[in-house]
Amino acid sequence: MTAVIALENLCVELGGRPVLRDLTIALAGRSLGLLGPNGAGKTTLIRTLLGFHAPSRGTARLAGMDIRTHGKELRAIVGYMPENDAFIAGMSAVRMVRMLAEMSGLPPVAALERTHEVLYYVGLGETRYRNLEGYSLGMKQLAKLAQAIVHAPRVLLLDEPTNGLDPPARRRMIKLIQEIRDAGEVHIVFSSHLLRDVEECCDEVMVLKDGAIVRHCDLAAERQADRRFVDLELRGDREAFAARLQQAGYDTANAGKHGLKVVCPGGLEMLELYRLADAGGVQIRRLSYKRDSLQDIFLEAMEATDGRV
Amino acid sequence: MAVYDQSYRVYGGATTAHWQRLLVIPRYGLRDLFRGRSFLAFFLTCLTAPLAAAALVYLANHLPVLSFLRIEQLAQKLQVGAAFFYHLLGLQAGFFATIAMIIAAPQLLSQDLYNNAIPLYLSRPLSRWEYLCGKLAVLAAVGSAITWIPCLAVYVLQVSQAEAAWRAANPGLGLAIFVGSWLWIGLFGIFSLAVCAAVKRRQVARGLLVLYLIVSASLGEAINAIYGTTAGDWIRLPRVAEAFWGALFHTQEAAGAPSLLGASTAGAVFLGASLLVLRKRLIACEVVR
Repeated sequence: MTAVIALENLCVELGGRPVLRDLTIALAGRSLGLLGPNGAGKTTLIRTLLGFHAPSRGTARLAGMDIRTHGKELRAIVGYMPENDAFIAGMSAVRMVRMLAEMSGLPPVAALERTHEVLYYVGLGETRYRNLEGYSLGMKQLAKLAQAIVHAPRVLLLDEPTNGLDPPARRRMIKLIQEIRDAGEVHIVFSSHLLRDVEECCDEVMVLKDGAIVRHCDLAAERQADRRFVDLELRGDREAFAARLQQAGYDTANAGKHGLKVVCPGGLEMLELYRLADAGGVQIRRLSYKRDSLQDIFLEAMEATDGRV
Repeated sequence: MAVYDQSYRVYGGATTAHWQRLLVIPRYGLRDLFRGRSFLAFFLTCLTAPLAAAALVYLANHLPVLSFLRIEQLAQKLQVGAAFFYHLLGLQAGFFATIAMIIAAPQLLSQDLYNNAIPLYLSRPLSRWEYLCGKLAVLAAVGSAITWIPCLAVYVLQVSQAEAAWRAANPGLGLAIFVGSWLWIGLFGIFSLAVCAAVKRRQVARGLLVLYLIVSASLGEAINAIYGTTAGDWIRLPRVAEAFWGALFHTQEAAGAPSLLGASTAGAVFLGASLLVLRKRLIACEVVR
């Protein structure tokens, strides 16, 4: 499959400060999540893909097109929903979305038809003739989504789309993004620091920290593998206990001061676990049985200081 | 698709050519501008002077009508020539078009910057210079409708009514009207957009443009009076334009205007500074240093 986003040693400096450092990755999934704490470089990466920032080194390809040489062609097939409040004043939602659709190349009549469609689709049908200044934050977010999808882009760049939304509005936004993803015609790049949103919408995740990729994870494969873990809190010789478990065929990883994570390949016999603990003189103070979540993946990535991919 | 069938659907229809997309901003900009009744009323007011000028041209070329109206003495005062068209252009460009641009430019640019709309435009297949040209095209269209189009119409009326001797004596007036109008539209249009880009707020931008015209006039006059030069005129865009118009119309009416070289230098400095401001401010996203 052709990579939707291919980064090759991509470096971006803003105001003389490196913001993205040597990003190299090829992503081919239908929906990609960009995760990372504030200031990790998620928004900068999206803006660089749009051509708003020039790379200081390296290059990036979006849908096979080089961002340095095919800026306009690229932006014709991309839909962008910016993070901040953004609208054209003095216009109704219909007028703004129609105008932007025409700028993306839709003929006026088709643009008007599409505008009504997408505004109904995102849930602004009844209020589409109201001026955008009078919209609530949630409505403005929906209007931004509408303008991003009105020209049926091949790649949809969503920068913190659930920012500032109350739970029902957030639920609605996530549902819309899932529907667009499931329609199968659009590749979605979803930037957020909200793990739950990314987990619900994406099947591939790239975790950024300080402008570098610290983890790349195929969530779809993780879900299919259905890897389960037992989190243990121990008292006693943790290392010896971990060695015994490894001898018995289990993967282990230390977690925190007294914690131990045990991977369950097929099925884990709890009795076996207690037997090995007893034999090693280790107390199991707490035991929780859970699936590997995006939170674990994210926290692991954040803990790794130099764990760049 | 029926509006009740709310599902995401891809678009598979025809798309427009790039040049057609460039016309979207001027088209919407003009429509938005003329949607306001006050601007429409002002625009119509701007056309009263050319209408009056057309009437005067007609009267100047039909002396029997003056006799019939018993205002024969007007014929002696009414001289349609370079000075007549110089003053007509001065009124249309220097006054009406200036006010029109002061009203229109902030509406076109300041609001986009204030509401963070630039990323919405620039995420389309459009460069920021194309965006700027689109906005400037709106000012150019409004300015043209106020300046060279009505003035040239009056000139054509005069040419059609006047004798061959008048046509021979005033060969380049049409070109002077056309070039002089575009000089002012380009110069003040870009300058006003730069002011709007610099301050972002619509009312503040309008206030600053008016303030510039008043303050630069006073300051320029003061400099001229104190130092006994015309260098004070270099900070006044209207005086810079008058220097060009004087050279184009070959009339004494522009006596006292700065030299053509000084005006060209001042015009180039204004233009360069305005373009620099626009280059710095018209960006999709600000970089916090």
